[in-house]
Amino acid sequence: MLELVDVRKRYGGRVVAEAVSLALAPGELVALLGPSGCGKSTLLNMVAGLVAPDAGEIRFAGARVDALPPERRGFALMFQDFALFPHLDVLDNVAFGLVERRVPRAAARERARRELAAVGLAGFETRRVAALSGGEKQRVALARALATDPRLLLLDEPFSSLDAHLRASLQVATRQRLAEAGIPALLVTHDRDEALAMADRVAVLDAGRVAQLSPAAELMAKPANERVARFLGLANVTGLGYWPQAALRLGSGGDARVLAATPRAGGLTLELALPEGRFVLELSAREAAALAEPPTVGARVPVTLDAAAFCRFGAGA
Amino acid sequence: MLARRALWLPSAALLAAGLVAPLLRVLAEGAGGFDLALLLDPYLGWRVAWSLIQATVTCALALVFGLPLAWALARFDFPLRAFVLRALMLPFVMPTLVAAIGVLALFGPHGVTGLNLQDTPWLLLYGNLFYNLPLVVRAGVDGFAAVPASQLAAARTLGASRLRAFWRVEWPLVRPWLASALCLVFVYCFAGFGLALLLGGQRYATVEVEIYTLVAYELNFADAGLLALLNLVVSFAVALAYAWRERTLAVALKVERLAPQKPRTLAERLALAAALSTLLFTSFAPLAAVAASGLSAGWDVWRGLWSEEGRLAAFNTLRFTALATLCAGLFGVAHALAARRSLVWRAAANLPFIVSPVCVAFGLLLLYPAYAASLPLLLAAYVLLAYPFVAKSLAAALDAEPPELARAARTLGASPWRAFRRVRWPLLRPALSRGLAFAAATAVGEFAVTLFLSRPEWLTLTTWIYQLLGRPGSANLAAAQALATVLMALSLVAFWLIERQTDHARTR
Repeated sequence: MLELVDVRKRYGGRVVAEAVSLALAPGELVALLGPSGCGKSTLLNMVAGLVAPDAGEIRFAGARVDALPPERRGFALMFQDFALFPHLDVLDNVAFGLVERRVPRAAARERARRELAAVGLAGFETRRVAALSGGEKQRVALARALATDPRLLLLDEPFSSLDAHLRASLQVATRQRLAEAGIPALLVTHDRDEALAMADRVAVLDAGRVAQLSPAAELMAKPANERVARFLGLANVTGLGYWPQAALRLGSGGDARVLAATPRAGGLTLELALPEGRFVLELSAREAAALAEPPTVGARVPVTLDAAAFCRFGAGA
Repeated sequence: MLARRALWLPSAALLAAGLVAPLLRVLAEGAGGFDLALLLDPYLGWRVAWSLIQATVTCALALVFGLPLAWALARFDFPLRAFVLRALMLPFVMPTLVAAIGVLALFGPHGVTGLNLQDTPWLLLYGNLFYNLPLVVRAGVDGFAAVPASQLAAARTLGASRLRAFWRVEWPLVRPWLASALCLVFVYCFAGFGLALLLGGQRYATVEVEIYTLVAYELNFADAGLLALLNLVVSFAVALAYAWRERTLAVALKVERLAPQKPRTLAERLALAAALSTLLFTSFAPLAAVAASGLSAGWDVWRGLWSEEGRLAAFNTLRFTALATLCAGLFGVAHALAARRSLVWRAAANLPFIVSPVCVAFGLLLLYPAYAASLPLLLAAYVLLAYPFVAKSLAAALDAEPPELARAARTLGASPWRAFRRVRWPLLRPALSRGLAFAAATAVGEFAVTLFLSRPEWLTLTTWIYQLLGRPGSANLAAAQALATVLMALSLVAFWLIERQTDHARTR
């Protein structure tokens, strides 16, 4: 469907995109993952037609769309702060794009009402947008974007202004709604977990290039290089590759000293001194409870390193 | 895009021909006959000295009363608080003549208080405070509101008493706000004309009044030029100080503000009551006095207003106001759009606010003697004084416009024109209406320029009031008071329009 070919963009000396190429399959959700300020949003704005690329092609369904103004591309963009129109009520916000497509007002409102019901906001039609909570705004923005039957949905960090609990539930709901509608989508985020939860495939952006593009399930297992591995938050990364957690064998003899122990939600993270060096071991709550000696600092834990399990960067990626 | 580049042309031409060139002409006039001996003349020397004194004293009084008042309004919650804060804007739209008549109705020769303060400095100082105390209070309230609650809490938990916290945390943050407001107060008072003309009497009139007298009655352009030169130098020096201060006013938008609290102790209640009474006395009593005198004027006085003279004055005021507001709208919109790209241009919109209308009118007379009595010149002067309100209001709205909204409209299928029509215009319109209402209020109350440039057949409501005040007899005074009531009512309408638009903007 969407195809980016060698897209480039610079602002003065700052490189935003350096030969970015990417293709979306029909109905697929691809996440663009990268640190804040790496140019992800600019890339999205170029797809939307709000910013012109310096070079490269943007195609949709085989046809070039670079020259089209944003209103003729048929892509809907959901903004980070939702950009709801403060002078219109909820219903008129959702119906905005339909009115632009010359749908008669009554039909536009009827359709907008159905979209609102689909995101669970039936009865919110006459509310002012300023009176909505963050989660409600997000859902209104989604309904507004989907009401126009866009060919492609662009999502610019649509959950970053919400608190963690709300974020998780809205991610699931948004993904479901997109699957129902069967619309391909491009999601920009700096949150690894969000990318994993939402996307079919994840593209990691680094210095204006796609450093890695892989299915969400493989992203963590096969990082492309050291920078990507560190950005994804993997432990035990070296210049050549990384040691997956499975390489640290628990209960197979060995005698590693605990240097630091940090509790986390699902268990405990230990920093261990092994003969091969320092390693980070993530224990589940169950594993931690099964240890003979409580893993406090200075305690001994039976862990050995399986040298064969080392993952080299670039192998099979 | 050529059209967009040309946006700065109309107001640039207006500012150059209607303001800068006349002022330069005044400067030349003043420098040409420059003779310091003139200032040693006891009469003119006293005029200059008194102008400086009354401006300084007004600043001091405004600070002494304004600081505690602002603190009380910012920190205490009381019924009608929002209303009082908005009403602080009311004096801005009141014509100077209305204020002057209100002051006279209270403390004039036939004042309702029975206390005749004519030919004392107090009338002028009272009139000055009517306008300028709300200005200082307003700035102070904004300043106090910008103090982050967390900083005060931090000071208190670190051991500062309430007073020490005020002194070490609040005062340093509020000081720049007050300083910039006081700069404006000084300029307004120093270059004030209407109030000083009516309230100053023989002894306590200002330099501006003297310029007017020299030009209008003695045709002594040389002395008037020298005084105008002095006036401009002082005003510009203070305006520069203001501009420099203004830069340091950072408004942190996402500050957790200290919520105002209900006064709890007796001392707090008394403090609040004292603050509100002061405000009532300085800024609302004169208006109440105008309304009272106008309403008690009796049917004959009101019917007498509908004379040939009265109809002419009303027609002219309406005509000038309508034309000036229309032109101010056009120039203001062009200026605001041009100011988006240029800071200098943005600052230029303030220029008409800081120069005195008397100096501009004097300059116009000197520069374009052939057009001295022509309608276009008078209208140009009106527009010059009125259009910055439109320009500034719209420029602020353009600044506050979130760029994503228009972009969102575009991605939802709106063309640039449709995005403007359906999203940007509805959000900008309140600011434009506000600016236009301010411009209209300025035109309705315009006095100084009209007095300078006007011909008898261009009598307006303000100049007619002035004429009536100059005629003997209580009938004429009553007519002037009734007319002032009409002007006040017009200004209240403008104020209501302004506040309604603010409401619209606020509910969003």
